Amino acid sequence: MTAVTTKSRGSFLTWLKTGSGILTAMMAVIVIALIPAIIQGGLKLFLQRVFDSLNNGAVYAVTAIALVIIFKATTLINFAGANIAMFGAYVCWWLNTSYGFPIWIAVFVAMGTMAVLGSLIERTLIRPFDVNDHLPVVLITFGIAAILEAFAGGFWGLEFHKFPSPFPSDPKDRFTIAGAFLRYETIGTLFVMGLMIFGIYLLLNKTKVGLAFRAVSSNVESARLVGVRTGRTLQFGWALASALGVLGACLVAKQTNLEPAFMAKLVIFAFAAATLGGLDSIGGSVIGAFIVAVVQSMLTGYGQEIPGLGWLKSNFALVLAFVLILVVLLFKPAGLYGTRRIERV
Amino acid sequence: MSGGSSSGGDAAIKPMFVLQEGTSQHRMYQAFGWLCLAIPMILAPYMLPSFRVAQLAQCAGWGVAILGMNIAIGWSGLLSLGHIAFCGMGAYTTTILINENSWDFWMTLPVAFIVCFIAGALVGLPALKIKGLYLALVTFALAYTFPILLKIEGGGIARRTGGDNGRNLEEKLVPTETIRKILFINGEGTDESTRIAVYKYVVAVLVLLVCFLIVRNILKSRGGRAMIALRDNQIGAAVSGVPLNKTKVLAFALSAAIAGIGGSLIAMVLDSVGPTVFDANYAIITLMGLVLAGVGTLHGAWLGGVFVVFLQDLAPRAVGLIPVFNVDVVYARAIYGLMLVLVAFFMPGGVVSFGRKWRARIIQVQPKAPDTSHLARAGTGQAAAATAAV
Amino acid sequence: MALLEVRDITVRFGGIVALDGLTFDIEEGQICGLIGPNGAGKTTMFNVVSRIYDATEGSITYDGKDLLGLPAHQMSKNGIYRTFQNLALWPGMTVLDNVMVGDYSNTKQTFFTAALRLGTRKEEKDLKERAYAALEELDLQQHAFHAATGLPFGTLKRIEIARALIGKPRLLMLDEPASGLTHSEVDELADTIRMLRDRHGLTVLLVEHHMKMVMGISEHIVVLNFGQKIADGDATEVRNNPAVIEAYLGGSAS
Repeated sequence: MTAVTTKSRGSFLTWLKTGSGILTAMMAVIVIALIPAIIQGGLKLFLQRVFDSLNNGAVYAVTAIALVIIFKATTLINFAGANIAMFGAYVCWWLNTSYGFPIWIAVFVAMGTMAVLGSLIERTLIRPFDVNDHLPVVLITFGIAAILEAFAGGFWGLEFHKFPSPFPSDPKDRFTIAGAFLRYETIGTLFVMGLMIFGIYLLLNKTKVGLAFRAVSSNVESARLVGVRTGRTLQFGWALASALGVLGACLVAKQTNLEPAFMAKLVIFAFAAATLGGLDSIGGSVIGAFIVAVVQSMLTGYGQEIPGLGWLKSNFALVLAFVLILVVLLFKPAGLYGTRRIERV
Repeated sequence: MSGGSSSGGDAAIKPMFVLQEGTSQHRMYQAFGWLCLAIPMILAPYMLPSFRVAQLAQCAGWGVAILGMNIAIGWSGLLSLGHIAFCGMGAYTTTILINENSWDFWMTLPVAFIVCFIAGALVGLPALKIKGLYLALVTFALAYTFPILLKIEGGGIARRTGGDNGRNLEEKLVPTETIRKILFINGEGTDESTRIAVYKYVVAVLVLLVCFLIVRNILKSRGGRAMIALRDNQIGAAVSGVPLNKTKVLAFALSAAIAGIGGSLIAMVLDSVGPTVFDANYAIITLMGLVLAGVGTLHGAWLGGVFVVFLQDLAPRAVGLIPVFNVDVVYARAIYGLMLVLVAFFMPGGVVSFGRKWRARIIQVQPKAPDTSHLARAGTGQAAAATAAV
Repeated sequence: MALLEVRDITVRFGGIVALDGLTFDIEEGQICGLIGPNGAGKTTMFNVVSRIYDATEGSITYDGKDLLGLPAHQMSKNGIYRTFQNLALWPGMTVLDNVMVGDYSNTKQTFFTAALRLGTRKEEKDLKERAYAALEELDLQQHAFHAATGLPFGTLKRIEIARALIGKPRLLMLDEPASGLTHSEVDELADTIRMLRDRHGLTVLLVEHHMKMVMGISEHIVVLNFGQKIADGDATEVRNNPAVIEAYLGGSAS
């Protein structure tokens, strides 16, 4: 058992154990390991790899935030989040291709639909259970994931569908910086992500429902005692998370194409990002998302050139995500920027 | 023994029969229970067509895997979704040893046990620090990662595991003449594939039985009680002297090792291994088997594998019966999902607990109080008087 | 030399000072009461002694050994057992099994020997008998095969005492054993605690709100308020101490 430690330690070690310390140490190790390959590859290649990772980073960030919001509200991990998002992306694609909805309208309608579904799920399937009893929640979220995956496959088929890009996506739509291409799509994705984070910030800090949300995530019982309608707030959290998940899915679907498992393959990186940053920290998980994306792009890109690592290919990024999750949880169980909770006896 | 104590069952229900533990009736009742389990298991391979027998052998393999999962999830409260990876490790260990080193199947089992025990301890060590749903997350990531690890080309891994294609077992398990005589599969009338299926079934069921007895013995011991104690209340366990870290790692390693044995059996029964049998999808299916059979129930081991194998068989057909949808196997997944949700709501203890509740209405066994008369105690009488019933 | 010597124990949680330089002794064989208003730090003190919380500063010496260097699960090996204010039983096991775990430190079976039943039967039988005897001693034997949940609160609290008792404690710490009991039950409990102390040679550290009971059975009382010791002595001394009266009746006296 880990006794609750209240001792303070030496200053450098203390700093090293904070989020920023670990972050710096990790980045330093990665940069040093890759320096030879980066020098050999030249600036252009390096920049290109950074640019490539930005898009992924933004998508991981949006998906990770969806996880974090549910975790903050209920201390639960929503294993169905990926497939709720996937289903939303299908709805968006379907509205766009079959009914001619403009893409952004379709995105918003899909977000709204899945928000309703998310809040219904919370009310009917999650609320009846004790949040401290984890197994039923795991079963139910996995169950929902399987059902949604089956229905997406059933309604729209198992084959890949091309997803319309919400941004200008002609091959020529790009800036050139030092020879490397920065696509408009990437900028658009980053912009939407920034807008979304700003929106969440406003929602949580400047509105009444945000105050209620923060109260519930800090302490459900106290919140209930002072008159916060906790049930509604939890429902709001699920709705918000589902909508954001859909947004993330719509941003990435252009590159991955639509198929029933496309988000499930991706969510492991969002898990890694959220664990890295701290499952209860929105800012932390955004930072985590970009670390995961950059490391993924660098390691799979340059790693192949390091002797002995020739087998590194992009799908091994999953292995990387796993190792990252494990290492972070070993040294910082609450993530880099998460808060540790002191248990009362 | 003052009357009125029940065996933890619902005291409000008066059962039709009450048996005293240790009486001859109780022994007969126990024997009856075992016979009810044993007779169908003994008769099945001789009555059913060979593909069904092969399926039942798979059930036994998955049953062992689920028994292993239950140690972590059911009794130690370590919510692991990654045991499928340990199953896979066991299966690949067996396959590689047989194919590359021409080992005998039986000899690979202890090796698979040890390999998975060590792997389990390595994953279990971080699990000490990772609680509840975080552990579910990490272990689910492990389930996701395992099939990819198999395809690593470095270190000859992909060559040994067969990568995407998996591998067939080159040396199949074939019964010797003596065994054929013992199992009555030496006669005419059956073809060789049936005989091999029967033999594999017997092997798988025997291994399941051994694993079942080992786990049962552990559960009824100091270590087993310590596991349950740390599941139910860690601080109470620590204060009573249970070393939490050691117990958790041991429990996790043991559960991984037994899951690994399950994997070895599955490889033996299928005569092949492949990354698609030990992936995240199967992590969910085995979890479903576990919860349907009964989390934290020992006898769930007999049923869990049956659910794993036969639900995959039945779900697509069940979908076919619903007229609204086209017969589309895609919807079979929805059935698994629905099962998971329904179990969580209506049968949290699975089929075994459900059956127990009904059994308690019919028959209850009254445990025998241990004899304490020989223990030297100073004046129990006074104690009883001083604390007169509350 | 005292059995337990608490010296300058300070516990801080972030900015909150739960215990502030607490110092007191418990003599072997004593029943020592730890009292104080809500939030005074009594349970925190228990958690420090049973190594669930780390002390920020200070030392605790138990039988001449430094206690704070040991992990929580070694407390029982040294004869320190406790009960909990809000129970820490295991509902998934029967009452008898709960009590059997209490003797974990003194039994020897391992996963390996148990799996193959290598000479574990005798120990198991003996353990079971002793657990049952411990239940009999507290008159709980009729609950032995019931799950450790759904019983009256007072009964569950006594099951915790039985669980502590089977490990042959030297120092027994009881956290509000009388909470949820009726008047007559409290009197019985006081008798039981005294009887157990005499029969097993225990040293008892007691946190209790029930003043009459604490004053009645404690040979030594330590009074806490806001994490500090405000009085220390026998029942009469404490009762007449102005600081204690002020702490309990409010600041208006000053």
